[in-house]
Formats: sequence, C-alpha cells, structure tokens
Amino acid sequence: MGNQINISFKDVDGKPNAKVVEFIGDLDATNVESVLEKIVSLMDNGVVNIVADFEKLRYVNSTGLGILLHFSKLAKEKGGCFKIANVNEHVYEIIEIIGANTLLDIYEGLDEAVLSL
Amino acid sequence: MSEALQVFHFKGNLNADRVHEIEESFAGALADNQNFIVAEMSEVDFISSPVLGELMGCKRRLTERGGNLYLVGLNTENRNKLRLMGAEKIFEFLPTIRSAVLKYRWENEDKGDEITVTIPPALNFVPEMRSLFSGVALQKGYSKRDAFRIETIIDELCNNAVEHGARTPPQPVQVVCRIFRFHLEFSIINRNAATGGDGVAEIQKRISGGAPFDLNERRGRGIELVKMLCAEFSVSSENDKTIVKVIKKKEV
Amino acid sequence: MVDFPGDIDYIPLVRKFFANLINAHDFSRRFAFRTEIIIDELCNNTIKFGKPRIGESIKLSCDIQNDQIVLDIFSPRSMGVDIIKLKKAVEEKSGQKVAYESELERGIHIIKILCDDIQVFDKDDICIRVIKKREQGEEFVSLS
Repeated sequence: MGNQINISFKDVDGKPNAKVVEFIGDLDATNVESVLEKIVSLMDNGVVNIVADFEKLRYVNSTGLGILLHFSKLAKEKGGCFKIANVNEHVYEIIEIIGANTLLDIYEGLDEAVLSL
Repeated sequence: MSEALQVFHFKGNLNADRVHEIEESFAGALADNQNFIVAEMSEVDFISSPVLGELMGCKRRLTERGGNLYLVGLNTENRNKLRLMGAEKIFEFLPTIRSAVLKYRWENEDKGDEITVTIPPALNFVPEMRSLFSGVALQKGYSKRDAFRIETIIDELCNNAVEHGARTPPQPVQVVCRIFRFHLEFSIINRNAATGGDGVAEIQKRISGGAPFDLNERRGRGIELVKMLCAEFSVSSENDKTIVKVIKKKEV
Repeated sequence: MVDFPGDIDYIPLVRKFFANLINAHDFSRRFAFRTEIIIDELCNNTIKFGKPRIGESIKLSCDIQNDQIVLDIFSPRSMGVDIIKLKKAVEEKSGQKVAYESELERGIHIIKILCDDIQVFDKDDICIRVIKKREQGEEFVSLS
C-alpha cells in the first residue's frame, strides 16, 4: 500500500458531461495508477469536461505531472477539456519549472474554471 | 565539548545580590576572549529581575562581538517566569549543555548533521522517505519552499532508483543526507541498477543537456526537474553501485 | 533503517517516519501510534542515558513483517549505556510493583506494556530489540 490520495466527484449544474474532481493528498508514483484508472473511466463514460480542484492537493511529482498531461491530451482527443484550479504555490512552481504550465489549462479559482466550460 | 564554549554552572537562588558575582564571571570570560558562554541553570531555583537584566546585558555584549549566550537546563517554573518577562524573544532555552554545543557547532563551525535512510527497493517507502528529509530541512531552518523542493528531489531520485532496477534479489536503496546551515548534500546509492555503464552514461548525458528534453518522457521529466532544483547534480558508477549526488543550496 | 545524530530533536521525525510506514503496511492506527511511543521511548532512553558524544549516531531499524514488526535500536558501546541497569530494567517482570528509581526504568516499563518481547544484545554495539505482534481483529485505518 502506498501513499493515499482521495478523489471525489461533484456534478456541474447544467452540464451532464462535466465534473469537478477534487484531489486530496499527494499525487506521486505510488498512486498515479489508481488515479489514472478513475479519471480514464470517467472519460470513457462520457464525462469529457473535467475541472480538477487542487485546493487540497499538497504535492505532485513528475509522474503525477505526466498523468495530468495525459488527461489533458485524452480529453482534447474526445472533444472535451481538462482544466486545473486552486493550485498551491509549491505545486505551481514545480509545474512551471518543468514547463507544463504552457500545456495545462490552469485557473486561479474553481469558479473561473467551471464558468469557462 | 567545544573549546570555544565557556560553561558557567549556576546554583540556588539568583537574587539581586548575586548580580555583581555574575557580572564579574562574564567580564572575566570576555577578557579572555571567550565569546560563547553557556549558562547552565538546572540547579537554579529562582532568577530575579536584576539577574535577568545582567544576563540580557551579557548576551548583548557577546552578540556585539559575534558571540552568544546560551541558557541551558532551566526548570519549568523558571522558563515560564522568563517567558512572562519577555526573555524568550532574546534567549533560546536549550535543554542541555550538549544541545548548546550542537547549536554552537551548527551556527559557527558549519558542522553538518548526517542522516542515512535505507529502504527496500519499493515505491511505497518513498513518500515517507521524502517527508522525513523535508521535515529535517524545515527543522534546521530551511524555508517551506526549500523543504518542498527537497521533497521533490528525493522523490524523483528514489523513484528512479526503485523503478529502473532489476537485480535479483532486489537490493536496498540508500539515501545519505548531510545537512549544513546553508546547503544540503544528498547521495542516493543504488545497487539495483540494470543500467550499468551505458545507463549511467545516458543519465549523465541528460544532466549535461546532451539529450533533448521531452516533457512526455517519464524518465527525462524527473531528471530535468531535479536539475532545475539543485545547484549540482552528478551520477557515477562504482563497482556495482550507481551513485547520484545532488547539492541543494539554501534559499536566502 | 535510519541512522541519525544522537540529538533528541530528530526523534519526532524518525518516529513519525516509522509509524507512517507501519500504517501504510496495513497495521492499524492504534498499532502505529503505540509503535511511535515505543520508538520515542527507545530513542530518548538511548540518547539521554547513553550520553552520545558529538558526532555519534543512533541506528534504528524496523523489519515490517505480515504479523509483527521487529525494532532494533543500536548504539555504540562508547556511548556509555549502563548495560547492567538496562538489562535489569528489561528483565524485571512487568507484573511486579516496582518503585521506579529512574526515568530509564519508567521508559522500559512503558515499552514492555506496549510490546510482546524486549531483549538486550550486547556485542559490538548495544542493541535493544522490541517485537510487537499484530493484534487479533485489528482493522486498518489510515493515519492520514
């Protein structure tokens, strides 16, 4: 058993093919596979517009960044989008250092990200 | 004990009539160019305001000379009393002479601490490993930002060490951390690497920028991230070991 | 295994490291907390009563097995731990009423209540070994 991460889903009013996904904990090599499964399964079931709420996401590593990029690509291929909101300063810095901020759709606040759907 | 530290043991009630005695002791030390003094107070029952005033004056005189006064072994009652008098803003209360020596060495002799952690080559040990080292950094006065970066460095390098190994039976992964006041040195030692000489050469190439960086490539991402977060980054092989060394400077 | 300076400031970090690992290996929150207490007492005793010299370090290893954990704490002989006093404290039966003369004895007593076995080995280094077995019917609850 590795580091725990919890994912919870919330509906978006008026948009049946969209969800807000809250990430709680650390996203690292020990739990990326389980997160990958859950989000890909969501997309396979027609939810192709996702807003990831990172308010309670404390930490992400390069493996975690990799799956975020994968989600972004997969959502676009399915005609949807993968947006990220409420990123803490430390996590944002890592995203920025690796250059992933130009490839990911990042919003400061959750409302802003949801409105843009 | 460090020769640079002068220890005075105080006992009993430090009433106002003892100010002169204390003043003379400190003056003697200063005259001998002893700029670092430990006031051992585990046998002190009571500290009066005039004595506290003298201690503060001594601290100021020592600090002006680049030195320090450490208060050690205060009992709970005296600590609380001194806190109420605002002394905590001026003095750090240390539990023992040994802790004062460690503090002196840390601040003045740049003597680092060494911590070594050895884990089985399994990913599920890595999160706690990185938390431990980021906790050490925070405890030793590094910023939250530095601690987070250290966590990232350890995570990426340990994940690499675990994921790219193929030895049977699997060998432990060892992280040696030497932490100093203004920088940390990490060595990640791995006997598992199936990479051998070619693998080390490939990593060296990535570190030196000789291989193009592709954000979508998993291994490249980790090495690129570590490269950006540290001041020095090198990899070598020695007998059957792959050793990755990283130096991270403290953010000022 | 964690090898760290003989400085009590490191103990909270080290005990949390092992407690979280133990919890992550499907031992209950209660078990992990009790192990944390055992580690705390072991390390504190070793540092306080061993009086390590500047630069000397403590080694703590934890073997996490399916039904138990085995903790070994090593300190160099040069640290000056009173082996006779330590062995006496370890061997004294827990059920006896003991007027604890020292913090060492209190610490060992707490460890003995919380663990299943404690032994002292005295060879090149001094090693205190503590075994704690998984309790029957324990349920896993994450610490996080």
